[in-house]
Amino acid sequence: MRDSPSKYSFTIVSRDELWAGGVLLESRTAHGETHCHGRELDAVDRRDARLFERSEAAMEPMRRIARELMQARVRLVSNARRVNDAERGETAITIAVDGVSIVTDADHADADFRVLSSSSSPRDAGRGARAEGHGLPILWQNGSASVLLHEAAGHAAEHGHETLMWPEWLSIHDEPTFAIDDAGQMTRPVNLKSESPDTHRRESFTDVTLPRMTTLVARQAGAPWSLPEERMDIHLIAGGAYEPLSQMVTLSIAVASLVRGGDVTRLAPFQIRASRERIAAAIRGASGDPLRYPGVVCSREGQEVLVGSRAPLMLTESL
Amino acid sequence: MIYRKRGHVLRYEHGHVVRCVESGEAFEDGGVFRSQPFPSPHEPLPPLRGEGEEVVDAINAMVVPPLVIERLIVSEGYAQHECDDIRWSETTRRVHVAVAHTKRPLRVIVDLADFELDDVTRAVEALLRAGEEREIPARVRLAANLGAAVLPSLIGTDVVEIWQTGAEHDGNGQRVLEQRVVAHPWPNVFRPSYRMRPVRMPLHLRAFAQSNDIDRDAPLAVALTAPVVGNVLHTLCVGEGAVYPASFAIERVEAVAGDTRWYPYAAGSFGAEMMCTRITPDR
Repeated sequence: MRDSPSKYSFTIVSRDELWAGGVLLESRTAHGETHCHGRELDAVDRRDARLFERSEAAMEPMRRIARELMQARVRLVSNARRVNDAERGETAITIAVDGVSIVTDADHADADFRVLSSSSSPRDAGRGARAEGHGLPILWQNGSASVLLHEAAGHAAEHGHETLMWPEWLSIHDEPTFAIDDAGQMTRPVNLKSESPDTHRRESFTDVTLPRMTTLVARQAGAPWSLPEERMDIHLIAGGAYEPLSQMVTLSIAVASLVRGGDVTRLAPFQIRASRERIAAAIRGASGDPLRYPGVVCSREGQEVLVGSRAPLMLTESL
Repeated sequence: MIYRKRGHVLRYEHGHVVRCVESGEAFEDGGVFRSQPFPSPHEPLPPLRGEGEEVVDAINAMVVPPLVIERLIVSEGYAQHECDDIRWSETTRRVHVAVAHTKRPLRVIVDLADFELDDVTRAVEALLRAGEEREIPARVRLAANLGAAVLPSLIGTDVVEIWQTGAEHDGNGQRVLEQRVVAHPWPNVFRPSYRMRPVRMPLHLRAFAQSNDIDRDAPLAVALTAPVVGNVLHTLCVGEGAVYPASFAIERVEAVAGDTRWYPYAAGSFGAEMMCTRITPDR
């Protein structure tokens, strides 16, 4: 891992809105710039007009979506940032219905919302208990394996934990979609099976940068694939965590189903808890190209950053 | 109502020093909560004492292998608040430290609202000496830092009588009323930041018990090994000549010692050593 350059400036404008029932409830603006000299940061909440316009312009199409989602709680985030001369923007739409949420963008909001709304509320559905699927293999649908790998491979890599025996046919990379990170350094793809993320990111101008994932992309090449007739299918994940001391991964499964031949039973929400070593050993196969999972807002040390997530259909043993 | 805040903070985090100057405002606009930076007046802010670096050095010096600092944030700040015609100011100091044992899955977490490091010293020494997990006896003492940490989640339970301690200003500049904390609606509001909608909640909690008789022979829980959830604490305990991890649920607070210290849990919590009984697990 490299050191940050000794001197650079970081400027940001952020807009953040909360909508419910198509109505605006909360609206926040934040802006400021940081001058970094080695390990000293001088931060002041100065406004950059150009970044403000860029950030605000990105909000409008998202507001149109929020107004139409009458049955959802919607959070819109747009920021525009500049590191020295390199400028870029980030947007995210978090849509929550009955306690299950997805993170998407203006281009994918319609399709992702259909997935969310077709998964009926976990409060009144999912009579099947997880125990009914005990011991069954798990099919990680809809790119959801990327969340499993985000915790088991990505966060472990952030902590510099030892390399595990992942399947050879599986690659797990962090693939930044921008050229310059928040500390003024060139970004590069990183193999998360053996390296730590090399992109430094920060949520706001008052934060120090941390090495964080940007877009986790898992791919398979020649993976074994045989779909069991009896299995558990995972569709949406409410949240995940990695405990660096015990190297345990916890996933809160929001939408899953038990598949027995032609019968599909919706399962009540449950948790999966397993060591990352067990997870690596449990991966049995994968199929197809990486699928875009609708979003991970990753929180570490109080800083929330959006992490893209892509993975193929993946099969694991029971976890 | 328009709330404005202006201030500066000096923060030490991950080997970096962050000097930050900010001013902002928050208001309700037809039912919409809005917050935004607000052009700061030019009057200079009072200088900070700049003692955070010494705190960082002191904590770094006390954490030796096989212990490592997972996270250390030390900050010192000054803020001026204005809510309609009410103005007040405050200085703040905060320490958040998480220290881990590299040879076993164990960490201690300490949060302070001052730069007195005795809680950190005690937690680090306990972590170095920690043996295997044990079940604690039926009665246990909670050190003041743990007593403060657990109070916010005991509101509304019959585990202990909790009071809101009177103070000059709440998040809207109104007087914080001295009263027993029983149930909603809470009379005061908390603003952790100008960017957050003010929240009605009890401030400056303190525990009350009829007795202040603390049994000095009972084991003393000196540090949290995980955040408090409800009445369940994961701790390092010192007792019977040993230090050991122990997890337990508090059933009742029997006695509260007289000395208190303010800790930054929820909207503020006064910690005092507490004599507790734990819930005995079913066998």
